[in-house]
Amino acid sequence: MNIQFKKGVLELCVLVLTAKKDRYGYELVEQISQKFEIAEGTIYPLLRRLAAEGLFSTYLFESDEGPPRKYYKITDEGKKVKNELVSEWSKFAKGVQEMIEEGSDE
Amino acid sequence: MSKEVYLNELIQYLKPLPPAEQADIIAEFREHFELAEFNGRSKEEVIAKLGNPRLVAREALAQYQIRKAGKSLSLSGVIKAVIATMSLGLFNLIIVLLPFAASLALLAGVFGFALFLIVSPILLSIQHQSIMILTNEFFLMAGLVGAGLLLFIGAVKFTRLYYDLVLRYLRYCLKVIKRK
Repeated sequence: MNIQFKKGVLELCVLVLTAKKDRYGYELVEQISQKFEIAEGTIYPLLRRLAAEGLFSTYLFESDEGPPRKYYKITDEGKKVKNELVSEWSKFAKGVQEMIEEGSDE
Repeated sequence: MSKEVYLNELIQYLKPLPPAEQADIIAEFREHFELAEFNGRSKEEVIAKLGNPRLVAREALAQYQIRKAGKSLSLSGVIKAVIATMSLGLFNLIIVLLPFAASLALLAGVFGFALFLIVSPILLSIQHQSIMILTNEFFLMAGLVGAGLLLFIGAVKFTRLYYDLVLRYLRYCLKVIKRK
């Protein structure tokens, strides 16, 4: 998939994933790279930016299995941004879908 | 490339960041390696998928410079942020440098014109080789200087807004521009 296109959507993806439950960085990388190919290292700067913008808070959690993990927890502000992005995306996707269907009719 | 070589390379590229910020980023990548190993992924695969450390670092640097410039709003901070964003690739060089250079030149022009108005009585008296013009045309001179001062103050106020706009534009660029 187009890199530029993916980059814009990445923010939406991490917000949606963390809205469900708190996630650690590696988990987010795994979840996203299962669906499409990304340069995994660039997720971390993105997470840092969103945390700096106040969309995430972070905490360290010692797991019984494996090494300790830095968790990202979505804030109220983050949820607000997530909802905006989701509705923007839905509108966009619906528009594209309609165009595809209209196009294939001809 | 081994894990340590990758991390060392990343550390080198992250040097412009404050030590605490560097340590934070490196810790996150260490965690990534450890968890990947824990999940049975090979080091080669992990490194290949992480992407070039230089690109990862550039991304972090650009974000840091924009954030920092946003706090102090100085020309040097804004220029650093512009350079950091430009260094992400050729495409960015064009969409970042051209608008920035053009708008900065325009702003400098406004400042230059304001200063020119302020000193215009001196320039006129030099041109006429007498200071009589200052008294003869007093109201014109006062008007020129006054307009110059107003323009200067306006330009100073606008500069803050301008820095803010540049940083907004850079943030927008970081979100959408190409990475490779």
